[in-house]
Amino acid sequence: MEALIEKLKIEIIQQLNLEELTPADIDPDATLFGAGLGLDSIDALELIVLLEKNHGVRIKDPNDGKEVFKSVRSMAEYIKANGKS
Amino acid sequence: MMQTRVFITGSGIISAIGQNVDETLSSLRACRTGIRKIKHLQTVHRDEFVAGEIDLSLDELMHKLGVYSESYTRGSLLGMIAAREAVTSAGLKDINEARTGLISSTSVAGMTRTERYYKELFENTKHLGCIDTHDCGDSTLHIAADLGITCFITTISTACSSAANAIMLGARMIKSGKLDRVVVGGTDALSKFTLNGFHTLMILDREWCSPFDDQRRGLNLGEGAAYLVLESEAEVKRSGKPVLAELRGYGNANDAFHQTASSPEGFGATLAIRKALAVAAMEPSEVDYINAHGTGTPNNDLSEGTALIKVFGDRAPLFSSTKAYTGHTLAPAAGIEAVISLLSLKHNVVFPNLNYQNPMKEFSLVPVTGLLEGVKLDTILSNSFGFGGNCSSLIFSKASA
Amino acid sequence: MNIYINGTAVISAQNHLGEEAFPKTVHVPFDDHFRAQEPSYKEHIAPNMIRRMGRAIKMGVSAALRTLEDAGISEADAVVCGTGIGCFEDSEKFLLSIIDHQENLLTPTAFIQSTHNTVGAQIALLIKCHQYNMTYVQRGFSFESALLDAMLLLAEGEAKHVLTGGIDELTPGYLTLQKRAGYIKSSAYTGERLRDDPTPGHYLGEGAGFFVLSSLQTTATYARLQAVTLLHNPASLALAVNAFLQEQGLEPAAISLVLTGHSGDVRYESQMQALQLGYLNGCPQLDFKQYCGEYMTSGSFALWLAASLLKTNSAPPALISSGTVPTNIAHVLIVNHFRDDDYSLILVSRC
Repeated sequence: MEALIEKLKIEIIQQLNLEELTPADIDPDATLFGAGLGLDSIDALELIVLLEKNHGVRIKDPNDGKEVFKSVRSMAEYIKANGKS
Repeated sequence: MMQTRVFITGSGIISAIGQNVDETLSSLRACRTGIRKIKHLQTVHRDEFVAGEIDLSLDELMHKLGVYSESYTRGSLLGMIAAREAVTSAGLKDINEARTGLISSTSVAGMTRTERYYKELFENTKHLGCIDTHDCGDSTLHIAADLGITCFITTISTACSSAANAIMLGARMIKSGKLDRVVVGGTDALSKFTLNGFHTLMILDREWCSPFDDQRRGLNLGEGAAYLVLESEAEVKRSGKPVLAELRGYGNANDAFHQTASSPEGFGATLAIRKALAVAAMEPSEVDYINAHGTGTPNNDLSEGTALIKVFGDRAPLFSSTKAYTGHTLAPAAGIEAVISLLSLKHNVVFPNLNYQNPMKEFSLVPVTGLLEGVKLDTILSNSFGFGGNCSSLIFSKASA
Repeated sequence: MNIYINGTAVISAQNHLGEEAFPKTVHVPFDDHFRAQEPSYKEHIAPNMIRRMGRAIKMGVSAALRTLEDAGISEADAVVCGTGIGCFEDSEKFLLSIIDHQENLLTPTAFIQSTHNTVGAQIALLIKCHQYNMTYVQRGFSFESALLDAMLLLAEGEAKHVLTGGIDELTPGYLTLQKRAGYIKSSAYTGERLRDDPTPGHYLGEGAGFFVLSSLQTTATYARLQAVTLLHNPASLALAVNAFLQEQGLEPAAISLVLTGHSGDVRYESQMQALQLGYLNGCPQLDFKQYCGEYMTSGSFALWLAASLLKTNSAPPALISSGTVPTNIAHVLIVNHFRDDDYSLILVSRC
């Protein structure tokens, strides 16, 4: 799980162009949207593709993303529960 | 100085529901949609999404116009068809006998051609001409050359509100005395670029779109072109020609909320409608029908509906979205809906909002769902909102010069 | 009515920051294109927004915000932009992802940012301007159409301060394609006079130039924007310039300096050469594309230069291409063209 979390952090930084951040700056339990990392709905769409492309997990309804994208940890948990990797 | 009134003396249109104004009227009256399986666009999503595609190949479009050259993109050809009809219907024989301009609009521009050959451009010289047809100005130059217009030529690109802004600028150029007549509108062809782009935003409906329905899932893309001929009061009096309507009001505002989404409170939309009413010097109660932007996305229809309630209170006029006929044609949408609004005014008919079943939870607005003939229509408001927060509204009234 | 330029900022191949800024020092690219010297964007744009922006957007937004600062105002009543090719970098990026991934598993950011109105939209978003917002995309008329609209807004009384500008970017892909189409010179620019160049092709440039146009004169005012006209394929450029000046009640002798848009492409220069050697022969001239390169909205660089020279009432002798160096700058005429099709005339005067 921890390895997946670290992998996800790197992928998120790359996919969302978060040049200012290093993986160490991201708290796996902090909220990704709003007050936390300050991500928005466009980032959510980017993350949906990231999950499908890199982890084979598909989110069909963007509204379902809300729970999945709560934090890096929740993303990792979702992948563990639903993914192939 | 007394400002001149601006009259509409001609119109032309091509979309999935007809290749001219008459065919468009027949489809609208028959409540016949043009949204169907994609046939001409080469895309892997052909069986996944429906679209308001015009059933003519590039060759067939050229044949229809009698022009044959690779330098005409699909968007240019669609634009030429609609602009020719507009100029003919306005009876403009000598295009340069008065100061006549062309203000067109597009968002896709020459991408339909570029996207087919992009990689090849770096490898061989076969389609290098694409480099000159890629930009937005290209289709406008072809249309201007086809019509013989040289006096004033420009192109606007404000996403889905583009043609409304072209119509608005045309009116302002006439009012300020810079032009006597102006052909205004827009053109966009269906492209892989936009189909995939809207798909990444997850706002495409795989079935027919259902604007203002509580269960709406998104929009269907379309393609087309539409142009109006605007003329000054003096020009109309000089020629003694009949007019289709008067362009009474226009408003342009920005939602300044988000690059793609509309604010839930409909700030930009409300402001655009209020500005248009102010230019027209009209009360909201004078609007008889609204041709809504109504794309069928959850976000737009909520935002637009909220704006309508803000402006019109609980006495909103009749309204419908005609996107379920044509699909969302992007830049020309406001031109297409202006032509449809003119048909409504002329024939006193309101075309229904197709595919509507369930009222939205958020408010009690219900669009017109059945064809209404013989309605007293004097004034119509048409809304167009786009990416980048660009919101524009137009007001058309019955008139004689 | 009088229209004033109350603020301006530009990003071009020249250095525009600090003590040694252009025109004190002139940068010669020694390359086949003029790449912009980009400023640091962090002072004006939040990192969370920068991360999504292509260069055209960053250059445009940054120049626009600096322009407002320069004018000493924090908001505008309207935002009007012009761009010839729009956000090309993002268009390329999304197009390539469509091709490379066979239309599958694409992400939205490049598509969203590729829309031609993105610069105007991002400016509106950043300064919370809910008013009039417009984007023009007509090749060599893109920026000049924006100027005309801005002037119209001021004349209508719809706005007091209009933020207007032109933006175009070059990308490696765009440069390659322009070369393949035969538009770019095969040699590097080494500072020679563009008006004398006997070869085809130009040097591609890029940049962003913004202005606050106002109906009110302030202490920040640079100059008065007197008139703008667009000429599509004029039969005689000289006759058109004559008519334009007559309308303003001016003789060629009253023009202190002409900013000439010689592109260096001999195929498209006959009208410009006839004008330069004929009707405007007596006027001091400055070939501005030697400093910014050729792009569809290069007129925004020229207007920035005109405003700056008028404000200081001086023209560095090293920049003058022909005629005597003017000692008093009252009227500057910009004569620009894009590939011998889109000609524009702009008259700017000292206040």
